Amino acid sequence: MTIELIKVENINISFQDDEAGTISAVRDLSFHINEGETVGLVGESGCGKSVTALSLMGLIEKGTSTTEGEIVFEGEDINLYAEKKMRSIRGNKISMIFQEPMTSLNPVHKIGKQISEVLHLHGFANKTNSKEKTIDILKKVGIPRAESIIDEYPHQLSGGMRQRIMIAIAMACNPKLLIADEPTTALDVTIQAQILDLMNALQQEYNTSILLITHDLGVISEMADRVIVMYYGQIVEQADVRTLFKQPKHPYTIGLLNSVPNIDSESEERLTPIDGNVPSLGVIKSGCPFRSRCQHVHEKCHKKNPPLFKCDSQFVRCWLYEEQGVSV
Amino acid sequence: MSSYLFKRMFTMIITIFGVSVLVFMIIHLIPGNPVNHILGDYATEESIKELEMRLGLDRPILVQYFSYMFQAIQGDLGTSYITGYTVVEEILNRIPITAQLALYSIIFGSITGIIIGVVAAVKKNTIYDQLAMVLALIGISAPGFWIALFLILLFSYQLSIFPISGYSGFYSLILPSITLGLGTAGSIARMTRSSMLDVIKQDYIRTAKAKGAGSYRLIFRHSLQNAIIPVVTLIGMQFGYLMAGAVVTETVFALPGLGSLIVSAISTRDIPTVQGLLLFMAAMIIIVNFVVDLLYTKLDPRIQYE
Repeated sequence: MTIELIKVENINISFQDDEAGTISAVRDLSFHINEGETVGLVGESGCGKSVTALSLMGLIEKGTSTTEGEIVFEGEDINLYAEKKMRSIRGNKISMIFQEPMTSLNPVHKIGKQISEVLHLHGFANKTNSKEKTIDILKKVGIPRAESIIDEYPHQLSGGMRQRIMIAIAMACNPKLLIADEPTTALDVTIQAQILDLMNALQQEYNTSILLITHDLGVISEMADRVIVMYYGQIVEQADVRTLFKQPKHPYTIGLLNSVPNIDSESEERLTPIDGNVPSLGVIKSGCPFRSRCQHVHEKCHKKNPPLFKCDSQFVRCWLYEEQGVSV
Repeated sequence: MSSYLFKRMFTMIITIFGVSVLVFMIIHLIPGNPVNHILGDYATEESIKELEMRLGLDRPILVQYFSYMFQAIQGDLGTSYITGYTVVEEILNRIPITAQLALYSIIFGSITGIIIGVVAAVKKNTIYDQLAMVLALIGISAPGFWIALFLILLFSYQLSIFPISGYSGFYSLILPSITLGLGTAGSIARMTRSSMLDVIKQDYIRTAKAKGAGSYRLIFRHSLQNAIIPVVTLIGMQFGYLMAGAVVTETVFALPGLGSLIVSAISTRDIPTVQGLLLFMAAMIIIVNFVVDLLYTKLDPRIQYE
């Protein structure tokens, strides 16, 4: 029996810009993550992946932006939480690791202090046991010589080690949901594999759900149970990982998969990139936002933005599937 | 570390020598013969010659310089032409006031500057930010003598809280310290603001937020500790301006410190006193900046001297 951990219902995130007015970064986004599940969030830069992640943490600045819709976590809408209440969830029940391990740790604080801080903030440690607990956590994320590393500073560690420290901080309070925003993008391939293995191992042990944000489809195929493809602030396709890789439906997903080199393919085909770029936010007012780059563009695409169609277990936002799918 | 210390010591000595050459040259380029000042308008040709010989002013300038430096190295900065005390004695007599003044104004300037800068950065683009930056601009641009007169008028004359002038303990140094510290506060506020704004954007602040840290923790534990590093350099450099500002402030408040001493020594062409004081102040500024550099290793673990 799968238990739903977090359910995002119709969130719209928009920013106020002095010149451009209101820019909507994420539109009508709905998805859920089950307990112990890894959901991959894929898309090009600027498609709203990171903004979505930050909104789950309640970390989008209140003054210049608005997040509308429901974010139901463990039965409560955390989007309605006041800052103070949200703070008790951040780093505790929902935690996050970032793309840049080199700059994500505070350069003037010792490693030990940076880990024990999160324990103290959420009441998992007191003065007497914090050192011991910190060392425990470091050992769990596979840091050698944990006893001495707590007295070192971030600049003394490599990128891979720093990302392990970030994971240690994120996993310190046994979170229900770990949001990993491009966790391996800045790392060497060998270190990437280690970090992904570590995340998998920790997930097995603690039944943590993971929202994995990446543009690397290789990482997705290895880690994710279910995949959400985003384009221009909305979901364009959602499917379990096997279905998505075997029979991608949305022209954008197909384009993404065609841009990945495949060593097994017999033919020495050239990679086919998707022509053009993601349009700037706020430029497209109507119609399908992908139409300018789509090979299957037809009249309807210019007129109306397609809804999500459900085809078997797969969701796709494209007029091509209007007949076979059910609009949701 | 020790080789770094050695290198720094060496450059410090070179710098002080350079300063000594400049000081010596400038003083001898100023028109006006000290002997005329000492003997008055009706001195005879003979007595002038004799006094010049006694003071060694008839010797070639290079000889004068080297004999002066030779004695200076041994801790003898000469004897004042006017008072007859040795320059070292003069400095020692007057340094407590200037040292206190400098210390209090640095403390006042740093604390108010950092507070104003942090408030401005945290409340960026609000009325608080604009108000803070206007205050900082006033602090930087208002001339010391004007601030001094304003403060005297308000707090001493109207409200009678502080003495108008003269030295009578800590109480009498409060207005001078504020006068002198306002410029420092202004520069520090600006630097703190821009440094804080820079730090707030950093990834590790986002990490701290993601940990669930509250805003006070974010500002003081995570941001300020990083933002303060360039501010400390500025505080070190401000020490030089403070020495210059002390000249005006001590004159306006009639404080018997090094600043007012140098003013009277210049106007009477008291060469040994001017020379000794300038050399002493330059050395102090160089030493303070050296100490600030050493402080860096404590503030920023990434900096290590080798």
